[in-house]
Amino acid sequence: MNQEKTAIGPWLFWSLITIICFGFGYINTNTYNVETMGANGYWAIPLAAVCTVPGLIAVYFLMKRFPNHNVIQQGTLIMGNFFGRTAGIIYLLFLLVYFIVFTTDVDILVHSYLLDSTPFYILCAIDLIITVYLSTRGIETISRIASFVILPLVTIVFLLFSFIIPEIRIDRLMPIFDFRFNFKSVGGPSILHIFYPMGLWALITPYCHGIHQKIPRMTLLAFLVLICLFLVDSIVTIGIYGHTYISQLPYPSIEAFRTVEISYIFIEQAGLFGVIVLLASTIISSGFSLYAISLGMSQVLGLWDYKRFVWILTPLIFITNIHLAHPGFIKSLSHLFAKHGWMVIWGYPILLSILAFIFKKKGKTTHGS
Amino acid sequence: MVHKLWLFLALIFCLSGCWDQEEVSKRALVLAMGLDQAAEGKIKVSLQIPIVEELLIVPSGAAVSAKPFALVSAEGSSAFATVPGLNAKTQTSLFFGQIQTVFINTELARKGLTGPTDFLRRHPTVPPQAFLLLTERPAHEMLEVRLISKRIPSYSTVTFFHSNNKKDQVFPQRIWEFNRNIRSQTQDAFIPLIEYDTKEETFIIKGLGVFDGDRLAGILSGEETRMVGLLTGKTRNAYLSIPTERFGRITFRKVTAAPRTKIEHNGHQLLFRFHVNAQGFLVESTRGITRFTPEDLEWIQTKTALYLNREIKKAVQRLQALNSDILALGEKYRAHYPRKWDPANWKLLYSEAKIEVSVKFTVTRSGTML
Amino acid sequence: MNVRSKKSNELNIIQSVIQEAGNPADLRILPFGRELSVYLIYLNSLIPLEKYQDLIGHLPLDRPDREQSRLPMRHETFQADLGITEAVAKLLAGHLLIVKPGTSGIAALDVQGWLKRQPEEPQTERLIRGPREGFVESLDDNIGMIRRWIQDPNLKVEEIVLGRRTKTRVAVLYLDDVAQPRLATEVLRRLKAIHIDGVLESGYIEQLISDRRTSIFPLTQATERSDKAASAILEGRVVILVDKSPSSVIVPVTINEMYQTPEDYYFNFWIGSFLRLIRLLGNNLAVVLPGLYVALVAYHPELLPTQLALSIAGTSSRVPLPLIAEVLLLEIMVEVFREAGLRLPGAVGQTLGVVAGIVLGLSAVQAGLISPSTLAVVSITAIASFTGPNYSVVISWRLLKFIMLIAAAILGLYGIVLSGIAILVHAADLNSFGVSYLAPWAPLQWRTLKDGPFRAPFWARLYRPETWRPQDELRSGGTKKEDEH
Repeated sequence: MNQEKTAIGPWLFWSLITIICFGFGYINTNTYNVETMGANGYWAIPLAAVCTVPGLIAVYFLMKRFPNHNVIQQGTLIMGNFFGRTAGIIYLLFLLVYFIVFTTDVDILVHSYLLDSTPFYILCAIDLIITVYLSTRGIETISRIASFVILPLVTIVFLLFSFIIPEIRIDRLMPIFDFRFNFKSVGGPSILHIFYPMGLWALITPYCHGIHQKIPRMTLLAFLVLICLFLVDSIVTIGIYGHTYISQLPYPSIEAFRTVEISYIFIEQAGLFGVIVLLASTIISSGFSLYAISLGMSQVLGLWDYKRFVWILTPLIFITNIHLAHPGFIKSLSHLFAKHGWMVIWGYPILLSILAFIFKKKGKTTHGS
Repeated sequence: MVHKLWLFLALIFCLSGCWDQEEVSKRALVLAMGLDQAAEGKIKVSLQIPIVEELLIVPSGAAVSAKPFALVSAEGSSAFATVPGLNAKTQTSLFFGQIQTVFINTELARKGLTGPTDFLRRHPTVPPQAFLLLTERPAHEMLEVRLISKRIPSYSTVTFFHSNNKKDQVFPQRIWEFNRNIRSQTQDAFIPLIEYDTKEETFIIKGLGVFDGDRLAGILSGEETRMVGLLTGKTRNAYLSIPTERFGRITFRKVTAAPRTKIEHNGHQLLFRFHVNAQGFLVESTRGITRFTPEDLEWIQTKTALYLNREIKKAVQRLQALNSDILALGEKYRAHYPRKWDPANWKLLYSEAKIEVSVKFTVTRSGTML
Repeated sequence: MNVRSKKSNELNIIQSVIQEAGNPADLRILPFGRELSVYLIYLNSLIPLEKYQDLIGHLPLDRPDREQSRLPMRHETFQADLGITEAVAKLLAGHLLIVKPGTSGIAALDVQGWLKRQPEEPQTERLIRGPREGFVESLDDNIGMIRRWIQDPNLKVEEIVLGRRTKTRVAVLYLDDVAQPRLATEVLRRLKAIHIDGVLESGYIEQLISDRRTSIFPLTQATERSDKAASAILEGRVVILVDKSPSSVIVPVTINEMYQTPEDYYFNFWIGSFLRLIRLLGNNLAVVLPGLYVALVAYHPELLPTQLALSIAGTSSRVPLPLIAEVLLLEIMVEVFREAGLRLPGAVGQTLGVVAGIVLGLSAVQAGLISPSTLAVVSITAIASFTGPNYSVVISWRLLKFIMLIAAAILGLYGIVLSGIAILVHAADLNSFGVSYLAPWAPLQWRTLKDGPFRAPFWARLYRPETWRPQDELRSGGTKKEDEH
């Protein structure tokens, strides 16, 4: 099998997981947060971070035990060929559908805010072309792009949010410690979706072979940056709109950006530039997701390599994107994944780690293909 | 093979038809919009569109048209339903992305603005930062007036609201704030009321229209608006003029305030406690008195504080009478009494609440005279 | 053997040399010495021997040949006992051949008498402050310039010959105890793998040793400045000098290096940082501004300040061309004028630039062919493109500007984002001799980032850039901060 003989450094790892979480998370974060926790929706962020830790520990544990295998390969080693492959296929299909829902949501965003006359399928196609181009370059290139983009992106996002801060009303964020969770059904944990993309790390663990020692530190740093970003996002959005109004907005963070007005300089609606910056992060997130899913597919089916699978999946993704393109439908699908996705994304590695521990399964320590 | 595939995909990119491309010179830029109540429950929408060639400075010095904009109007069963009619009256397609101001007639505002302003928040190009203004005149007339200071009326309001020194009797309300407030259960909206002086050919800010839900409940006078500004801390440069026996009429400028609001619930009634720390620059004494002693200043400060106390209380009581919570006291109540908060009975509690005001006023400066 | 037969032996050797060399018209044979028994053979075009009258008197004709053979051949100015083929190769390389009586071999003396240019400041790399010395066409002189900067015995100079017919000498310079050993080995390996008819300029070498030959970005750095080359060697990079070419090639390179000039280091770090930021801003403007202009005016006029939107609408309402056509036309005309200006003699070229820019532009505006805002945007773009210090990368960006412009014309701001990301993906995929092209941004190298958009002060630059993975990381003890007065 054509496995890439490459590796990523600690800062590349950090950039990658920070960007993909931010790219996936910023669209719907505030909607789920206020739905679950009302005016205290900002608390959902550190809470989600804490709840994500067991899953990350499971992935790290598996990485140490099976240094040359990712979660798909670990599944076959732990559960046997049949069950491992079946579970791997289900896991990857889930990720694929989640990816399709996400990319459709982003395309709808572009269609609504920027290019409403351009046919939707053209936007999907062009977005997919760039995503495919990025994902076929491999993990090293994707992580370099993430590394290049992360610092300017974080700076611009913080800068834009700082312009909105004068409009915040503290009363809308209060009471600060009145936690009333709205768990209507199993699915209250939609707030956990912010850190779902970190689970994709489980698919690229072999490339982190040389930086095992630094992974906990880098993950913690990624958490800190993401918590800061999302906290500021949440506080600003709830602080200016109030938690009841946010539920009426399809993209609360984008709407918050649009209120930015920097008088008498060249750009009037500076918020739209914020949208452009955020779109850059979504493209990188999409590229990485497609790469990881294709890699997993090639491994679970034992066929070809990830580049071929990118091409195989592309038309399927395109057709599904077009047919799912109804804003309300996409939002409900997205909500469904947010509510239940943690069972697959974190549940699978946790299950594997428990089984590996019970049955004392271990991988070989030498490099193999 | 792979390169040919990329080339093919690149061609898709290039063959895209640029559907959204429309140059700014080929669009009818809408700078201002007017919403009026028309007959049979219809809404009349008027648009102010600049004639861009007339706005250019002509080097030869030839006379430029006095009215460099066009006005188009149409009626429809809803605000955005008028757009096809408006489009039919323009050669180029309408573009709402440069709207500066939306004038709303008070008659329409009294009937409720949830419907008429819904498209302002849904249309992606309408700038959320555009200003809203109420007018007792028909809104389409306000779009046609001639202004002595600016050639395009709508643009003058932008300059007006961007000036911090104007934040005395008027506070801007933007589209996004208005849309949030009329749909909020914890805060009500307000829109400045503007009129036109035909003799002096200028706009006059007459007061503040306050809303109960999405309906216009009443108009606050300039003085009441000033008190509201002090209570909310929005004031940047208020003017205050107080008659006194000892010093004649004393006027202050740059009056600002740092308000603190507390809500107490004693079981069946609310108590609003407003504590306002205000300050200002003494700029006029009609008796020409100088060399104020500390006792004089103390006296002035106490007198001003009493005045403010009275006026603030009156303003709040007026708001209670109109059932309009533009001070966002509902939000404060919800924040401090989350278990007791019930949107259904908030307005009742609000209108029956007691008010306590305490004001402390400090004379910061006395100008260039002692 | 009698005298007559000895003389015929030498004449035979001379005949063989003439025949082997192809009987060139500039070949000269000068009988020399007592009894005119020694023959000097040389090419008059390479060695104007009449200028070397003194040298002729001091030719080491009597040195015993036995001693020569014990010395390493490549370092010998005077080589004896050469065969006909070797001797002809030396003759063609500009050596003076000596045929002595009583020897079957031919001696060669490296005289280097051809025309050489005096070092002068490179046209495209002018500085306000700094040495006015640039490389010339002589390899030895260029090596000499580097040696004047770096007087370190660890400075390695490896030489190979490339080009089947041109036999061009190529020198590879690096610091043995600083540069990565794998780097120097790889450079030499790639150079030795070149099989080509002729090498006329260092540009040939650049393109043939590049990691990705189809990339639009230059993966090697060319400079005519000796101080820049010396600085690269001190950082742990490798410099390649090519005979008859004033441009040296520096490898590896990152995009960060393309925006640095020696001047950044000759002024204090405030000025150096400011200049660098201006360069980055200028380059970004030159690439993005036309596309941004088209995107804002044609797709997103809501982003323009109202008065600007009205002004642009008013002035462009009379223009017959669509905006994208207007911008493309102007950009192409600027490129045409730029190229034309290079071919014209100095003074005329400058005048033409003024005429083209001001007179033609204003005439076109007054005739209603283009709008003033478009002219302003294109002019700013043209001037901003000159802020880039590296000519190769500036040209690359000039080409990419057209791609972004077309992408903006198709999809507005979203098109700019997509094309920007596509360009970034391509750049991120590039390596230059194992070094990521986007370093120190990708991968993030915090220590080297100090020398990225800003220039860290000298007291903070104790370490060599980790991008090149130098063996000896510590640059110096540094001047400690407490030493500053």
